[in-house]
Amino acid sequence: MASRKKVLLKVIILGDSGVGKTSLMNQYVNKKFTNQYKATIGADFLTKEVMVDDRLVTMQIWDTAGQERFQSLGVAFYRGADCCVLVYDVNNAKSFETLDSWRDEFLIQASPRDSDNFPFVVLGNKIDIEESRRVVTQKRAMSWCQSKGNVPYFETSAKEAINVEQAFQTIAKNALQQETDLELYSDFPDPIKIDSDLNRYDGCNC
Amino acid sequence: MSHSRLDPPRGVFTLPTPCDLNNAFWEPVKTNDHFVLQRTKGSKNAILRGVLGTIQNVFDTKQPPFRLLFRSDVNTLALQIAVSQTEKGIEDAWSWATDNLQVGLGKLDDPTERENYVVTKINSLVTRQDKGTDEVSEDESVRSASRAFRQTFDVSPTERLVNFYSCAYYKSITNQGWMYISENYLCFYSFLLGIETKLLIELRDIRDLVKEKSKRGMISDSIKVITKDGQEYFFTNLFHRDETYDLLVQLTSLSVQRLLKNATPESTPGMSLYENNFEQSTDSNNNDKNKKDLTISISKDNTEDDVPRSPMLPPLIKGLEVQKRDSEFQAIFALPASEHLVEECNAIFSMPDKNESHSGKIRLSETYLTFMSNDGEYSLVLPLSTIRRVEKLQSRIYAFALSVLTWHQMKLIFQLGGAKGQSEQLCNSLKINLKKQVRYMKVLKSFLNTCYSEALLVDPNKDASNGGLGLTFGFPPDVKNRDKRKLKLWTDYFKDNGRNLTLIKSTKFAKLTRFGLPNKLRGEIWELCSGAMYLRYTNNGLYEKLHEDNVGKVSLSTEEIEKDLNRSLPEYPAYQTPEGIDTLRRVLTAYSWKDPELGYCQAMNIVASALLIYMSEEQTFWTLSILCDRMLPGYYSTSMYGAILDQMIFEQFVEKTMAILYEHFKNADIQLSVACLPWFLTILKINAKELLEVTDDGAFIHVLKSYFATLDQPAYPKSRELRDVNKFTELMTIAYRDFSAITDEKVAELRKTEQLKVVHNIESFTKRSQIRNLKNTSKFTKDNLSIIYDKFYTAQFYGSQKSTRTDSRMDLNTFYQFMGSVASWAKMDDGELTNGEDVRDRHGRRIVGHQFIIKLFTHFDKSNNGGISLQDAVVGLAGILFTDMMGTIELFFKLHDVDQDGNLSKEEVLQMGESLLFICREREDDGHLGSVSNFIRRAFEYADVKSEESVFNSSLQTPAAIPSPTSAPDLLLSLPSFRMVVLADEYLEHFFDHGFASSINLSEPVEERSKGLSREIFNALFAEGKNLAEKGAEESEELLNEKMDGNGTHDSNEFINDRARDRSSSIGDGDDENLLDEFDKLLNSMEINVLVSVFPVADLDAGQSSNGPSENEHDLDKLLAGM
Repeated sequence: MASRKKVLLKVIILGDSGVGKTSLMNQYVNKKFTNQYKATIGADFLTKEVMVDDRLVTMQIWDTAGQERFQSLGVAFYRGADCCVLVYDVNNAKSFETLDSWRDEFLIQASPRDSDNFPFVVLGNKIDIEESRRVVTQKRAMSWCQSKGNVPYFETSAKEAINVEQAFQTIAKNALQQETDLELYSDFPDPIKIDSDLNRYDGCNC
Repeated sequence: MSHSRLDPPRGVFTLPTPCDLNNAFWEPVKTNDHFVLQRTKGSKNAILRGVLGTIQNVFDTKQPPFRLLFRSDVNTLALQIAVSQTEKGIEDAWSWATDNLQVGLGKLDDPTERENYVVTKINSLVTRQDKGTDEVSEDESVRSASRAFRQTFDVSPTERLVNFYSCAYYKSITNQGWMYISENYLCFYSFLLGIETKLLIELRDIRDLVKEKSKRGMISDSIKVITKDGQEYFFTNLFHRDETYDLLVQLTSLSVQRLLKNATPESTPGMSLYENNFEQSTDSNNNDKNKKDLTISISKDNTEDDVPRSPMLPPLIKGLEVQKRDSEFQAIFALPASEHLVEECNAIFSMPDKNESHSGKIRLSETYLTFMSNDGEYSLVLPLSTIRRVEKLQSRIYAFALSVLTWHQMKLIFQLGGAKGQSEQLCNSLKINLKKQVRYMKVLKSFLNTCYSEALLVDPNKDASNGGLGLTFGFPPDVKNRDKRKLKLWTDYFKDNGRNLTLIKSTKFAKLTRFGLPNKLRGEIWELCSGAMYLRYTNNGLYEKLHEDNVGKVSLSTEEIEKDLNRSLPEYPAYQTPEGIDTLRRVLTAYSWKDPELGYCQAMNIVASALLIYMSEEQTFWTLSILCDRMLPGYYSTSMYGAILDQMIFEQFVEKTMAILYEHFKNADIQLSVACLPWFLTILKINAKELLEVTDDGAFIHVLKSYFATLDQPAYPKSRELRDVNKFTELMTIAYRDFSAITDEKVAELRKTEQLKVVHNIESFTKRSQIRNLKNTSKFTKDNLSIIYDKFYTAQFYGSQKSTRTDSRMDLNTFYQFMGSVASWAKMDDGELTNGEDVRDRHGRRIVGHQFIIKLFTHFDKSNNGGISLQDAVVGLAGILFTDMMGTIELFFKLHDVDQDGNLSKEEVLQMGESLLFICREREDDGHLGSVSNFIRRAFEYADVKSEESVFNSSLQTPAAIPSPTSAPDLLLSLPSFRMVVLADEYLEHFFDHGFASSINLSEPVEERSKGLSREIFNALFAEGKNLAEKGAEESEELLNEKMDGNGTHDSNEFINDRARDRSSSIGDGDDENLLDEFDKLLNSMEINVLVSVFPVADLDAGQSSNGPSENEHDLDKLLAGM
């Protein structure tokens, strides 16, 4: 069913300021780490071509500003996202607690077709820092992910390139799944909504 | 009377106001084709005098006994054009009108044109006369309008009327009436043919204001108002349309600013975390221009000491004009917001050793003398403390000239070209203000030492003692280092034109700047052009003090700053050393202490780190302040509304200047906003070709990014002549050449009107975010929380002008308003409530027991800091709503157990009684009276300490008349006994079980929009009529007859038809059936149909049955007659 045309996957990375969003993206795309990144203002993106399930896809990874106030800027580029990556810092409890609002706000702004099944992936970053400073346990994070509909969870280190590749493979895979689902929808020339209340209002007034 | 042909009599003409021609209260004295002279029948008829008196009292317009009307043929309405207390006065008006208007009217055939003719004539006459009248009489008209406004609309007693205009509200038909504009509302009122139209729009709800042409003709006299819920209101017949429009824009923009200030997702991120008192150092408050800008600071001298506002204040409109003029003045010369325009005068500027002169305007403020040429190319700003000497010279052309010697020994000559008095006044004010500035001359010398330009003139090879990190760590490399040559040019310029504080800006200055600044001077010129230098000069030492006052403090902002210090400009060597990082930290934290509401926003770090290369810490601090407060207002605020606003304006510019590109973006659904934070028009233009091929956001950014990466490369690599031109130079050239029409003023103007559109989106984001961030939402649903949020912030919005708090917490006065909006028993008319003071209701009766609300306030205030947060309000309301009977009983017990000893004392029991009476005071039945009195009796019975019988007996009679507590030994009522006492009474049991909880209304606004004014009038009329009827039926008979004579004998249906016919011309449609439909709609759609509210009274007292609103007028007649 799915067409063989070139696929562009749009992935949005969200999370508090300083949890390592830019670093994760750069580690994945450019395979390098530096602590000389500037704080991200507004949004930025990188692209990478990857093979997923024998298909060549282009991932367009959007990196965002973490400070809360930037959300009010109207995040136009959320629209059409295929996957949303939520990042927190395992050494910072607050960055974990705000995952809920990042998720909510994303769903409101992106308004995906099926918000209950929209693919999220959660990354607990900075696991390279000594264990004693860690404040969010794996168990706590996993139970949160479970409560949100079994969201895949990875513990990563952008600095030491731990789990980054694996995480983004999953991200790509889930995003592609989402994209394919969308195509299925659009294969029907005129979707007929039987069970929807919308039909009642669709009537033409002329 | 021959002279009256030229000179209209003064003080009798009024702005044309519609009124009923045939009215029972007036009788004609004389009539001709166009005019009617009437006098009240009051002088002859006792009933009417009474009734009229009532109306006059209610409307507070002492209608003079004589009036002159213009008879419009368009409808049965007439326009009142003059009134007078004396027959002589109205006769003069009559003569003038017939002499001067009759001829003109005779030449016009179309009735509408005739009406317009008269209206225009009289309007211009009245306006002309008004200008000449003195302050007092003008004040009086504003005063009486303001009273009428307050009585008509249910607004806070402190709400100030700004202006009022005669206008019409168009809604399927045109209603002529009055538009009132106050600080927070746009109101419309008309009362025609017994139908009252009342409209109240909150300014903060306005999304757009549009100038329009009138519906019928092509006259530009209309304004369309669109509110956030999409409602459109059309106002027409505005004689001062543009003035009205400007005023509305100004006021809505002020209220939107307040809205934005209220709607902050996190409350004051820059506030110290480990402090319980929320006071900031007074110094930082004084310098917080932001805050001052936001409040309507007209009555500065008045609000300071919290004197209750009285209608005797100068008209608000004046203050607003001054405010507007001042902010324009500040913007032109980049002056601090504390400067006000004191004097201005035309002048010709010259310097003795130069051969040029410029004519322009000289302006004086408290601490600055400024000049700008008429073409805007030549300007100077002198702090008064840099003036060494001023001399008065003879002038060849004008009365006299001023010679000013500056600190840098430059002689400036101003030939003053104003009228004699004006020039003199400028000199006097200058003298006074100069004296006040003498003390600053001490600071001047040390200040100038911090300016590199001073050192440069002494020895060009000497380095600056005060400057940026660049001096130590090097400046980012320039492609061609032309610094030496540039420095030489600037040195010459400074010699001729002064420097730093006394610099004169000419066209050469602009050229030199565009040519590129030498690295060492960059900081100083930036500081000077932005106006930051003036702030640094006037606020000498503040930067250091901010650090001293806040040493060691931690806030949300300082934490955020800490995260970003190493992520600002990591590639620059200074920021790889602790020294550089420290400098950056100090600047950013100082700013967060100065403006805790803004705190710290990412991107400020990058801006500051770049500035610091060229500027000292203190220079950077003030330049950053100017950037955040003035140049990019709202960009960095917690809602970033400024950035959103400018994105929108930017998109408009793209649409106007590059239509093809705009169209392409729209079709490809590319969001310009994705990129327009950092990228601008010119860049789009240069890259237009590539951009036209782009089809998604990502590719869009990609084009721009690759362009940026190559900015330093040649723009035309293949051309030999243009090889030197790199892309950056090209960018600058195109920016100045192709987009010169886009000026700062244009942007500022657009910001004002466009912000109305963005604020509501921001608000909805803020609301989501705030509700989400609530830690405890109890059992409230999302809808409940949304309503609590709305009510909380509505109260805050209207309370914030008076609130003493700087954070987003609610103070006691605002809490009264908030509770009033969720529970009807808490609603009181008086807006100015203060701790423990008397509170009176509408009828002047003292309200007992309102201290209950103060008790609730203390109870809600969990953190005990005298303010209530949204979270506190949610938890507090949950405590009332989601508890059982036992819980409510306990709540009341705790609230009244002031000393918290676990027992209610006698005084506390009495207070409990008062509270119960207070809460139940609006109940229909009187059941609570007995119950409360029983409660008190039983409470005393079951209390632990026994007391004499006599005390109980007296308390049995009336709970209000309880003897003073000192006369009896004290009682102790424990919680279990209290419970028992309460449960012994059925009424109280109900009250505690569900009555109290259900008094909290979270579904719809309790607040009624319109006060029952109409009802009051007619209740009063009714009572009056009844009284009179008892006195003598004869007189009533007479009234009825007169009324019939005036109106003819219609039955109710004919009446409607007549009315519909009367309206026909204004609808402009001849179809009768349509007309009737229209008219039905009109009747249904009237905001308030006054007479409807009369019916309950009529039914009760006179046994009349109501036949529907359309016949009300007749019913009233019958009522009056029947008595």
